[in-house]
Amino acid sequence: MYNQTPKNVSLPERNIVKTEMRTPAVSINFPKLDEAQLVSYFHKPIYTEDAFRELLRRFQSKIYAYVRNMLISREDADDVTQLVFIKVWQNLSSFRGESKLATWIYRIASNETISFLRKKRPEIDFDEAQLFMVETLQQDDSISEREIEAKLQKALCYLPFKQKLVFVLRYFEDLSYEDIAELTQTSVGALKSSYHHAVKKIEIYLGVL
Amino acid sequence: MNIEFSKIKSPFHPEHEHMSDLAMRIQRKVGIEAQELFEKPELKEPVLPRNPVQLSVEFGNSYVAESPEDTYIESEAIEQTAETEIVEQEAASSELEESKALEEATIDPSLANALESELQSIHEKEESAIFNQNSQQNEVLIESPNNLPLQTPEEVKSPEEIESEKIRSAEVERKRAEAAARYAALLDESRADYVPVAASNTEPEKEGLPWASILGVVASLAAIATAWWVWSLIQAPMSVEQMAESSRQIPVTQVVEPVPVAAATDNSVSFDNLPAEAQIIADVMEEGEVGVGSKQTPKLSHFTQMDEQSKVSMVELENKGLLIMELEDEIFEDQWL
Repeated sequence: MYNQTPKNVSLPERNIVKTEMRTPAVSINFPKLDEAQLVSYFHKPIYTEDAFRELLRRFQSKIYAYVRNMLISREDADDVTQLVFIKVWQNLSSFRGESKLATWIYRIASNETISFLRKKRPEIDFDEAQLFMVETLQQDDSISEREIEAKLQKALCYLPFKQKLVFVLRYFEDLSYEDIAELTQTSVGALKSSYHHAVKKIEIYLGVL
Repeated sequence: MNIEFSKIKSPFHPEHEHMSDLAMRIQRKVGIEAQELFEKPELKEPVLPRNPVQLSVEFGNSYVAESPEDTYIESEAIEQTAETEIVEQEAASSELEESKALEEATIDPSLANALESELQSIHEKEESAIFNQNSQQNEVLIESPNNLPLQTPEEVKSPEEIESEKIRSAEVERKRAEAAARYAALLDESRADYVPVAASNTEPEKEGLPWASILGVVASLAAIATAWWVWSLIQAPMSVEQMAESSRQIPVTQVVEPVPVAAATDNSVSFDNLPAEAQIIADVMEEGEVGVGSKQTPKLSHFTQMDEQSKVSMVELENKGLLIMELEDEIFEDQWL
């Protein structure tokens, strides 16, 4: 689609040689690999690209949805998702599989989201920044037509940033408390409490909205 | 509202094209060859509006015409005719030669010549007859453009050709039968689409106990038992003896302890102690009591002083138990009975 070369243009000889060198000797069915197997291919230079593509295929939609829930704006979500996977590519060789791959990527995504918000609105707090998202939400045409979904998203904008982060990770992304604790470096008890408060607030908001 | 029980989805549904585009951008940014990573979601077949069932069957239905075999047969025929037309126009002479050669190869020449001459003579005779008829009527003979070509004499076919023809006709018959069966199947299918209730039950009959009949038997037994129970609840009418017996039995429902009854106070007024001014009323009251409560028992003295009618009445009253007369038996018997 993007890198299609016209048929009548012959590639330079140097490029051909390079491609031949980089072509793996054995073709591997990456979609069938489990997480540990996939991680092992990150450290093999000839398979790194394919392994990264597989990682992208598995996590791109999830990360995009997570970032979109946090930032609301489609363009912002696109930019942050792109930044997340660039960071993943840069640190792929340093990932040793000590934590789950998903936890690692979600952690990068959370950090990138916070950095993005800091850069975008340096003058205000995260919690205040949430309130500005209500306007973005109301102007978004791509949002689902289901009223309850839109209402929930609006209610999320009124939550403090930390509570929103925990809620989104737990409610929409289905991450376990243990994974979120590892990701956010907080205790499970504090997370449960935070999630409980968030749920109560959202239920009140949904009743009012 | 409890959002944890009824889970609400995120309103942001990533589209396939958007995700694909984003993946391409990321791959290019990272510096690797951009590849399509996301398979396109399978498009669902559009739901076509269903036409009502055609109840009348018409021959030459589009179903039959659309069947590939039939189309093949027809197209073959068209091809053949087209070919012959071209050959006739462009190379008539070569065709004649070929046909002659074929005839020579397939038909007995003597027999063919005989048949040909016979046919020609018949044709000439017919033409002359028509010409004579027309000349008599002073009409100009104009040959019809739609005249059918004369029938060629029947070719004597070799057994191989006959065999092949048979095979071909059998093939055509088979294809026709297949097409008819397919048409019938399509018709049934379309009917089944519109009338799902009438769909045939394809489930095989289950082997085992006939549960329906067992249930029926159980239900009837239960009904009988219920009827018996109701009947037993209805009491038979009691006889007089039973009634008397039951009336004697006084069910003890509650043991009542004997309560010492206080001595009834004598409320009766002692007229003797009354003051003098109240004595009159007392006297009246005493008289009334005597008059009301005392039994008037007629004595012999009364009876003897009565007239005859009263005496008869008294006897009748006594006979009916309404009056007791204190009379000496002897007197009563002697004088009145």
